[in-house]
Amino acid sequence: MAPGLIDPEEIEQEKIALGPSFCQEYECNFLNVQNAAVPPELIDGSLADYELDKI
Amino acid sequence: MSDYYAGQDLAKRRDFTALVIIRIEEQDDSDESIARVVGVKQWPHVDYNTIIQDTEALYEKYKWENLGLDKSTVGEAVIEQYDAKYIPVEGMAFTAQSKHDMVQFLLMLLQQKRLKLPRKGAEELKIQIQEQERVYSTAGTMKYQHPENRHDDQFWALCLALHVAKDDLVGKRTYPVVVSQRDDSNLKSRRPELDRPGITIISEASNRDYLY
Repeated sequence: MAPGLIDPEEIEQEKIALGPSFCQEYECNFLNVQNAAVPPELIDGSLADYELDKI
Repeated sequence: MSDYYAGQDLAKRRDFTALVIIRIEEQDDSDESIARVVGVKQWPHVDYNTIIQDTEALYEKYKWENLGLDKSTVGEAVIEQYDAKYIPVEGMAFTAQSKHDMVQFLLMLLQQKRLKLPRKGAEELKIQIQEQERVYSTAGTMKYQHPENRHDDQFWALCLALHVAKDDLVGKRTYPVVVSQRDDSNLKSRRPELDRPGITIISEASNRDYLY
């Protein structure tokens, strides 16, 4: 499966786990990403392995 | 000249005060410098005397080139205190436009992979970046907001630090990227120095031209 695509089996498992709130969960996630000022993938791409100074 | 810059978002009545320190670094394989977040501090109160004292101690350690600070509400009074202590500081009025410009600059750095955040140790900052929302009113005006019962002081402190570091960050680029409200051909005819390869007009962002 190409990167970034959702595995249909995972969706089925989530449907079972979440029950009736499955649709709401996905709608909320969708709306969150729609309004995000900074796309999540850009934040992930900025992460690097180093330590912050203790201030 | 110091490689450090800082941004500070001051607490109002309920918020925290946050300070983010960044370091500008050269890259071995590129002429473009990067900004690395090296320190994040948050004060869980609005005791400005303590905040000013702590900030002075941090300035003695890092000797940053400039500190960006939101000058609305209590900011002006704090700027006067920093001036008296010879701490370099630049006040910035938080408006819808200035916030938008800062977020656009943050996005540009992220897209160019020129902002580095630690994978561990700055979780709250990462969450605040993720949570920041851009919403539109029915009148079409845009504003930035964070979820209820959450904070965004670290997010804006980072934006302020990047804002005051902008000249240093963009000065080391070999070519500018132009953000303009006008179309490509019109802008390039008015600014002949931009009419050459490597210059890209990337979006329609404001009523001013920005050279990054």
